[in-house]
Amino acid sequence: MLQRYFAGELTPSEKEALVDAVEKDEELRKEFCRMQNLKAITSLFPASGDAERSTSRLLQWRKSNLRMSYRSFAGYAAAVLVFGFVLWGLLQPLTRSVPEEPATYMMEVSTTSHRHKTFKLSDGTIVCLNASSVLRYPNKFSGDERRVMLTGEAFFEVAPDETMPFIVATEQYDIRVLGTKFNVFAYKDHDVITSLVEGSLEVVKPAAEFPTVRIRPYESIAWEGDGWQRSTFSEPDFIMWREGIYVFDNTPFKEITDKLELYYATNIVIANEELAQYRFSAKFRQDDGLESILKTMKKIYGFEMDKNRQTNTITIE
Amino acid sequence: MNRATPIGNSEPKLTRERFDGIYIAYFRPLCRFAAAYVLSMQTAENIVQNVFVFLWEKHNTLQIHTNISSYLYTLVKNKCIDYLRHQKTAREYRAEQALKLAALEQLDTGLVSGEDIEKTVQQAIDKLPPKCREIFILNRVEGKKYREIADILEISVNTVENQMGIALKKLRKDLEHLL
Repeated sequence: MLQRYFAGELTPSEKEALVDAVEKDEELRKEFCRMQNLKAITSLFPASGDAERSTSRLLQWRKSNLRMSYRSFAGYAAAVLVFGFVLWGLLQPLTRSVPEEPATYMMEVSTTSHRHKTFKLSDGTIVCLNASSVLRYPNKFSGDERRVMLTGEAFFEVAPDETMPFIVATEQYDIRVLGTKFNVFAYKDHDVITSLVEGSLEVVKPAAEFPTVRIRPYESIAWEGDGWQRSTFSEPDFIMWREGIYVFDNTPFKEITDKLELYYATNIVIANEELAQYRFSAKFRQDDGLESILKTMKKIYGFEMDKNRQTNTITIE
Repeated sequence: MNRATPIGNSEPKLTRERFDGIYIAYFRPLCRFAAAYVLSMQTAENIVQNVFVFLWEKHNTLQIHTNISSYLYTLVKNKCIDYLRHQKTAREYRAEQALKLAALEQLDTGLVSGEDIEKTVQQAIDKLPPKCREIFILNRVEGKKYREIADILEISVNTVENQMGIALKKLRKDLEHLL
């Protein structure tokens, strides 16, 4: 069984059973560790094609640094190039810096499905990152803008700096601000929705002929395939997630489960059209977890649900 | 099988050329090593790349007093431990990750003993019976499935599995002190 595990020949359920067994048995655990380490050190043995693949990776790295040195030469003849390198594989040059300063590099904060996180960036901007989200940002800002990249949902309280606009880049568009409070909903494969609470901001579609659009407090904006869609809101309940509370006000069940899918990184299938359209008003604690939230709604509507761990899917009917 | 060793012990500082040589010789094997613990090749590559970025940034001042392979394995090992400790994983992988972390923490990368792990491993693998060795390398180094190996060598999947069992038993005995 161990041999087949390390050969990658086990099915997911066999694997789960094995891990369970290993956890419970001290001797088996020791053997697991030895076989695990044996696998690792024997993979140091050279394989055919190693040199080619290593070389191409090296060239790729050198190329990205060359491009950077050109940029820094053009703009900042006096500055000496230091390798800025995007953490976690984004092969993209980042910045130039003078020799005594430590290099600029990308940081990444991510959240799991049960927790949101609040943290400060180097400029004093406070970011609250909702569940199952990722924010990438440089350890310090330099140049003429403060640019961060978001997948998921975040609330920003941007520290004012008129000389250096703060830009949130999402899959669909950029959000430019100077100093304001706003929420960005930007999960993968979903329309990005920006909602302004205080101050002002503009949205920019990079490399497109669409004009930038400025929105006012209590307005939301989304990109819907071919144009901007503005709307207004009166109660910023939907940003209660910052206190770990999900608020739904007269919201169709389908819309609720769409959000829960994102927050709890799971799949929810509703096999009952009437239920999908049924509207709920409710407040839930993030900590309660998905199952407890669904059980609460089950008490109101009386549906059946079934969880498939293999496919990470909950079916409701 | 011998790997061109790009660094001698006489000269502790790294020139650009020697750095490149080390990168070319070690990048892929280190990725395989890291991937044995971190569950994805993508993460493994990032960890190894970061180790090389660190090495390059320090190449003017760094003096390596041990053999370069032990030094690299130790850096990668430590980065993997950091990663495994801080990585929040989906629940179904959590137990598996904890086991991998426990294993990695007890792994001897030869930094303390000064042993050249790479050489020890190569000698142990070279000592395997030819058929056994071939199957082992196809599976563990080239990453081929039992089924694919059976097809390549025109033998049964059962034979592949048995030969792998023999190889693992011998290697486990020869390399016991490192595990």
